[in-house]
Amino acid sequence: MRNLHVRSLFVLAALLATACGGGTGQQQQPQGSTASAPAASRANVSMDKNSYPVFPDQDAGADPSVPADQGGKGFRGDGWETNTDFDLIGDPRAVKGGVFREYMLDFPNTMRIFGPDVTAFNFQVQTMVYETLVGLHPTTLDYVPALASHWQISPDKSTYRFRIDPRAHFSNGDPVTAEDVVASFNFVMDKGLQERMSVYFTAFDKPVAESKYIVRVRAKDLRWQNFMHFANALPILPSSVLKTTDGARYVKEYNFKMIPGSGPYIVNEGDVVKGKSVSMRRRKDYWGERNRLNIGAYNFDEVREIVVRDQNLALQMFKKGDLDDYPVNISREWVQEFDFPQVQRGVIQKRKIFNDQPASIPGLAINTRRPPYNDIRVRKALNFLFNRQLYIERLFFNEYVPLNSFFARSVYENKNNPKNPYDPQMALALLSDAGFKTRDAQGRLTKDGQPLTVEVIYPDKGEERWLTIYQDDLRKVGITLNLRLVTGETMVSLVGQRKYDLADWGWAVPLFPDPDTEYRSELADVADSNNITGFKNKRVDQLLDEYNKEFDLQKRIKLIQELDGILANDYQYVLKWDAPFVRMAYWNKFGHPEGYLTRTGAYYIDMPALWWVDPALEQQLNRAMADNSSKLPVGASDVKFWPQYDEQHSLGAAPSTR
Amino acid sequence: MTAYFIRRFLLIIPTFLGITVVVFAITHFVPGGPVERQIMRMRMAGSGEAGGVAGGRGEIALPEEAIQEIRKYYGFDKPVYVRYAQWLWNVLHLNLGNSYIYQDPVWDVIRTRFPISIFLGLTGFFLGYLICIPLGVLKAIRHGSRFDLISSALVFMGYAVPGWALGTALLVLFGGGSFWSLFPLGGFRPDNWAYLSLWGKITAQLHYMFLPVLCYMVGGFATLTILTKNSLMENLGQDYVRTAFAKGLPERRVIFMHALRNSLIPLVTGLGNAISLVLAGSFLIERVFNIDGMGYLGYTAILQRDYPVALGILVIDSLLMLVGNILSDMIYATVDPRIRFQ
Repeated sequence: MRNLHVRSLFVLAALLATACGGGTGQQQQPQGSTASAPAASRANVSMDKNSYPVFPDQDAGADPSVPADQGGKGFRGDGWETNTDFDLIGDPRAVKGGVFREYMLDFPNTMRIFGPDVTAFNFQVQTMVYETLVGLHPTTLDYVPALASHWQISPDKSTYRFRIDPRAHFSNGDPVTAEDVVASFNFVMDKGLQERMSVYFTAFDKPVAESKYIVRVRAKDLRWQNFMHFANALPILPSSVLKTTDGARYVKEYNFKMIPGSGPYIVNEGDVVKGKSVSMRRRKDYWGERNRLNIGAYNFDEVREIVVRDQNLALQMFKKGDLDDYPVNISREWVQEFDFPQVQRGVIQKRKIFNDQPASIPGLAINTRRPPYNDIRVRKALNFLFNRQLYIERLFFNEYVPLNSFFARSVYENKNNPKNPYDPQMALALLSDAGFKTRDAQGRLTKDGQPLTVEVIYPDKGEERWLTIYQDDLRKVGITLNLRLVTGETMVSLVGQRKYDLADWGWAVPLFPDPDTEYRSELADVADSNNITGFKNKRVDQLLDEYNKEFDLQKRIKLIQELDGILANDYQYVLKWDAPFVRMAYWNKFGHPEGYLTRTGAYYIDMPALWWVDPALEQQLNRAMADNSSKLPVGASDVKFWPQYDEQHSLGAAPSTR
Repeated sequence: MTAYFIRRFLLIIPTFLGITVVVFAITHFVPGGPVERQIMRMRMAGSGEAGGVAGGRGEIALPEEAIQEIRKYYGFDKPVYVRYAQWLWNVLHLNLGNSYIYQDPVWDVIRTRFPISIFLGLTGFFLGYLICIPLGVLKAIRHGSRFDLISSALVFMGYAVPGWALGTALLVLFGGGSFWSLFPLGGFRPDNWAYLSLWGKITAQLHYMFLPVLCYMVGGFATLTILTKNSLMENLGQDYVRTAFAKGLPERRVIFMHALRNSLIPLVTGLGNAISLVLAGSFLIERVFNIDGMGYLGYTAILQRDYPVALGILVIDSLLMLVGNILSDMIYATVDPRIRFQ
């Protein structure tokens, strides 16, 4: 009797909840079923880049009323620059179709690509939905034509002209024109948009549309980055839509819908299921599909980002087959747990993929404005007591390597930087030099009667694994380390107001060093600036000035290497460790380029853009799943395609044209 | 007594003002508000063991002017009392403002979570009373028996196990990723919800919510059961029960008609607060089961400094609680004739 009651109440509650409807009640039919099935495998395609023209049907779509010298029909590009020599990025054997399902830990706060709350997720969407004038080849870092087929740089390097490919169209059917570039520029500069990228574009005068296809812009000062910023960082949006809104209204009105773009994917309003998922769909009418730049790329019909709020749940969903890939961010998981039956049977493959994506720079920032941290000997001692080798061995299963450079894994790294091994004796000697000679009754090191007490703020409880060992090692020499766990917001606030001793901080590093805002002396005493440690150095100021004005890459490399050496020897940070790879597990049905990722790309950009569902592998997988005893080949885990490639080629580290 | 309740209702006003003033002041003075969150989003790399995701445009510095712009955007350029007055004025006009994060009206953001809360809250509420009262009665009657011991062990085990930990274990066991595939791996409803028949919707909803409701409730059995048991046992020892037995009434009648009615009085007093269950939720359980519910909303609103949403939930919750308390008192006075409020 009681059971009956229990059941009927459950039903009642289900009914009530159903009746309440609301946002969560309006889900959609699963969309995988609408995506087309992958076509037959394509084994006999040419792998020669010359089989794939850079500009197929060059003149198609060009407005006949625009003369050739204004970029219209018959334009030949005399006197202009372009690049028709670049290698394929995707694999021409790729097959279009299928769905790629990834997870994200929280639903994005916005689908906008500009303004508040924009994160790496929005950047990923941006790379799929929008295009810039000029692309960067991920292997050579040379400029390649994208929306602009040609470009010109004036002899004094201050004025740029771009000729827009007449074939380019937005998803709403509008052709891409010079006016769109002007409108996009104005839009980004609109204060109401609160777009920090506008910092780049204050360096320019307002661009001018010379004709339907030619746009000109002048930089106010001479910096080598200017061309790159304008050509490669500004997504072009249709002026017809921008006309109907402005920065402030866009922030409010376009939170969960997107302005049409010219890129290979589109996100329709129905594809944003609040709290659950976001789907990007491949456009069948993408103008650039046959360009060499895009051959073998953008293969999935649908890239679906699914919200899974718990990492453990995500792993279970991946094992069940509800997700296609699973990045393994924790060494213990990788070493101890990724040997479950599906991996042993080869239906799930795991790879540790090495490439040249710039390292992010994690470390403990030291507030050098506060004594005794203004004394380099104290900072150095804190470094010598940081037993990275032990943490890496005991906590991270020897997966990582100590980080000793602010430009690690790149040509900009200074190989002579100090290696800072764990050395308590050396640390004690340094502290003694710095005046910490006596000890109090509790055995603590003191100077003028004051014990050395350090507080570290950190936003992630997981960091306590190694912080407690550090705390212990510091206590052994007589230093008290207080751990203070704070939220990320509190951390930013405390660091911004310079109210901290040590702060667990990580800098995202761009493809091309941009150290200007982090190390300038004049910013050392400005609250909320990126110079968080209070670093002041005349030579560094000089180096930064020279760097920005230096158009010769080799000289720039030398400048940054010198900067790296100065920074490392000044011990502004206690640097942590580096993972020069990404660890990835995925269901064994995907084809991918030889290097798995591009040379310099991030996995979350490259996988959805370059992988594909391989019909033969998928069939094989389905057969294996039906028969529990069957096994598929298990591939080698380490992928060192790009390190090997680097050994055989000498490659640039920045666009070499300028 | 009417005068008493009128006074109680009037007291809601200063209490409500007090709550909101305190919370508003806290939101103003804690380090790190929406402004800092914005700055953080704009320039920090992710943390985590392997350095987190690099990329995006994290490296761009924010000039002071831009930071001022952000302050203005969130209204943080005005003094706290001005912001409070503005906020209160809007609340009095039934406008909870717009979410800092979603940019949607706070009411819309909260409203979408009601179905989940109501489901969790109602099932939790009714199942609780339906299971715990009979169980408590049985335990009181068979006090000291093996049944009493085992059931006590079970409800206290449930009390001791954190619901989210149980949830994680159940998902690994029954979610289909590692062992048996009996239940879906999280979520509130299937993706094809809109296309299901009514019966299909009911079964799907039960299928999806069985594990979450179990975990949500598992800690709640102990209090109610033991409260019923102890209260009944206390009554069974009273003179009027002895008298009832002495005059020859059957045991069933003594327990259910006399003792149980009086023992339920402390349980009934909680009924008024049942109106708060429209906001029911549990952050950890919702996270483990990947449900976008009220608990998760409230927690992330505080964590991400989405003050309008956090304050909106607080307004609704505190009003429901204040009214609920008065309702409880009314029910108390109704069921227990000895109670007279002055």
